[in-house]
Amino acid sequence: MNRTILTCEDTAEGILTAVYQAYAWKLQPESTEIQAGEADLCLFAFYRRVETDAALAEKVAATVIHRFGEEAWEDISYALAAHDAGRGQAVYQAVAAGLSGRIRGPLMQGLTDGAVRKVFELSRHMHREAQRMIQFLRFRELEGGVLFARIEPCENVTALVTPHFADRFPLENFVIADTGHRIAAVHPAGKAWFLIWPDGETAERFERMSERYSAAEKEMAELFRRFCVSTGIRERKNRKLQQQLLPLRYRGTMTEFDRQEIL
Amino acid sequence: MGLHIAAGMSLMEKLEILSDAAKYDVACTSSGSERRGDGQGMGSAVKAGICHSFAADGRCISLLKILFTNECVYDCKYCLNRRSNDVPRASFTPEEVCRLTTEFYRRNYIEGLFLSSGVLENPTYTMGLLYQTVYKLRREYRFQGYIHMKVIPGADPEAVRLAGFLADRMSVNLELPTAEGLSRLAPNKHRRTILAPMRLIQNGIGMSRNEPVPYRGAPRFVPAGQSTQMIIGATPESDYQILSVAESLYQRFGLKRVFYSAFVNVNADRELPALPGGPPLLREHRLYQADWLLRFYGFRAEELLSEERPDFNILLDPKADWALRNLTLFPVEVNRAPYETLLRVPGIGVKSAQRIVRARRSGTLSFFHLKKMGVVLKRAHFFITCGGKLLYPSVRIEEDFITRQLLDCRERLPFDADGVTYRQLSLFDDRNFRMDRAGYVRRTEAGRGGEYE
Repeated sequence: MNRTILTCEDTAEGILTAVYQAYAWKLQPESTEIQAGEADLCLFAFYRRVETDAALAEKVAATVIHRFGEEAWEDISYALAAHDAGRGQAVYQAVAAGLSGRIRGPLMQGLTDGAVRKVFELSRHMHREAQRMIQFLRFRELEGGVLFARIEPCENVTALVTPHFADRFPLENFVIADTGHRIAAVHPAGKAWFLIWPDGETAERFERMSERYSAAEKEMAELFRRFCVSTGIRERKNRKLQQQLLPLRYRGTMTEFDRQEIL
Repeated sequence: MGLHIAAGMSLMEKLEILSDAAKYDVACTSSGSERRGDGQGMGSAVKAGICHSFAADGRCISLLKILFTNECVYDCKYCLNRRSNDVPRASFTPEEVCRLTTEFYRRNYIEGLFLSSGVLENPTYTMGLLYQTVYKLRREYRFQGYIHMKVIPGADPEAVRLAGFLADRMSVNLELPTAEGLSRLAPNKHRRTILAPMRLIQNGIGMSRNEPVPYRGAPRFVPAGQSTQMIIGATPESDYQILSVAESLYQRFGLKRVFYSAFVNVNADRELPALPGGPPLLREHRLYQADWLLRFYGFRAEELLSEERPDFNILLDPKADWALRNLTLFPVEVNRAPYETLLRVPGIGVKSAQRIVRARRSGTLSFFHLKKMGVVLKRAHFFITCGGKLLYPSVRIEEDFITRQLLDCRERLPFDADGVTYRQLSLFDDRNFRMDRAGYVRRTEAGRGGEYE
C-alpha cells in the first residue's frame, strides 16, 4: 500500500544516489521504486526527491564491487548507461536481491530473479550496440590526416567504444561524433582521449564534414566499395542474410553504402 | 608468364581482379588472437574477431581477402585461376598490399589481411613473396592487426616456418576430402604436400606454446592456430566421409577450424558436376552444423552418420536427427541433467546450457524461467522436463509424433530466396527434391561409375 517512489536525476550517478538513499532511509525494497527522470505520476504513493551526490554514488559502486565483484559491476554500469525508463528500478532491485542473500553464487548468474534478468538484458543490449559500432564505424580522412567518424547508434555508446579505437590507433588524431546523442570523443595522437558535448555550431560543422574529405579518402573509399562488390559470390547472393547481419539502420554512415547498394 | 602483364594496371583494377580471384576461399575469420596495441604502431587483435561488413552473399568481410597474384602454374579443374583459363592476370607489389591494408585498416574497414596467392614460378618462390610482403607490413609499417596467410603446398619448410612468426593464422587447403578426388581434379597437388606443412605448423604451435620461459615480446608462432577448407559437391564423397576427415583433422592435426565451401562451378569443366540448382548450400549448412556439434557439443562423427546412413537428413538438423534416433535418452530434467546432457538437447546451445547450469544454483527452474532467460523452447520442449513435467502434457515421446511436430515448425535456414515464401503449386515436383538436387546428382554420378558429365 504505502509505496514510496524516489525520483532522481536521469543519470547513472542520480540512480546510484537514489539506491544509497533508499538504504539510508531504511525503505523496504518490496515497496520502493526508483524513477529516473520524468514519468507518469502514481496515485497512492509517497514521492521523495533525491538530489544527486557523486560521493554517495561512489559508495554504492564500491559496495557493489566489494560484494558482487567487478563483473557484476560492469553489467550494472552498462545497464545504467542504457536508454530505458526501467533501468533505475531494475538496478535497485537487483542490488537489493543480492544484498538480501536471496541469490546464491555470482549475482549476475541468478537469472531466475526478474530484476537481475532485466539488468542482464540491458547490459547485453548495450554490449551488442557497442560491438556493432566497433564493427560498423567508418573513419574518413580529412585534409590534414585527421580521421573523422560520424555514428548514429541507438544507445549512447561513444564512451564505450572509444577505448577500443584509442588502443588500436594510438598514433592517429581521430574524432568519433555521435550526432544523435550530441556527444563526441576526441583522441589526439599519442595522448589520452576525452569526451566533448558539442554546441550547436560544432554539431553543424560535424554535419558538413563531408566537404573536407581528403583526396586520398575518395580513392580509398572507391577502392573499398569495389572490393565489397567483387568479394561477393554472385551464385550465393543472399540479401536477406546480409540484412540480418548488417541491419539497414547502420548503413547510413558506412562508406561502402555511400552511393549504391553493394552487390 | 611473368609480372610484366600487370605493369600499367591501376591499383583499382588489380584489387578488383585479385579480390575477385580470392573470393572462393571461405576463411575470413579474424578470431583466435588477443593482442593490445603497443602504442608504437597501429593495430590490435580481439579474441572473438570482428566482422566489419557483409557482402551481398551474406558472408562477412573481416579481412582484406586478396591473392598476391592470380598467375598460376597449376591447372586445378575447379579453380578460376588455373593455367588453362584465359582470365585477366594481375600481381600486387608488396608496397601496394601494405598500403591497401594499412589505409583500409585505419578507416576501420577491415580487421587485417588475408593473403593467398596463385603459384608463381614454384611454391617456394611464391611463399617467399608472401613472406616479404608480410614482413614489410609488420616491420616497416608496424602493423599489429590480424594476418591470415595461406601456405602454398610444396613450399620449403623453412619459408613456412619464417612466415609463421609473422602471421596470426595460417592455413593449407585440403581442397578435396579424399586423395582420389584430389588427384583427379588437382593433378599438381598431392595429399602429402598438403599434410606435411599442416603437421609442420602444428608442431611449431606446440613448441611455441610449451616454451619454458617465454620472454616478453618473443614472437609467437601462428598464435591463432591453423585452419583448412574442403570443397563440397565437386566430387562424390559422402557427408560421412567428409565429416570423418574433419574429425580426424581436429583430433590429429589440432586444427582450429575446418571450412566447407559449397562448390561453385566457375569453369564448366567436363570433370565437374553440373549444379543446376546452384551451389549445394543446404549440404554445406548441414556440415557446418555437424562441425559445431563435433567441436562444442561433444559429438563424434560416427554418432551422427554411419556407413549405412552416409548423408545428412535434408529436413532435420543433425542434432534433432540424432535425438530422434536416440529417444530413449529423453526427456531430460533441466534442473538436474549434467551440462553435457543439456548440450545434446535440440534447441539448447552452449550459451543456453551455461545459463541453465548457473541459474539453477539459485533456484528451481520452470519453463517460464527458461523462456525469460532466452532459451528457445520451440524444439527443446519435446525433450526436456522442468520439475518432472513436460511443457505440454499432450506431447508423446515417440519418434513419429515428434518428427511431425519438428517438421511443422519450419527450420530457419540462412538461405532460401529473398523472403519469397510462395511457390508454384505442382503435383509432381516435390519441394525437397530441389533442395537435394546436389545429393541426387552425386548419387547418379556414383551409380553410373563416373560416366556422368
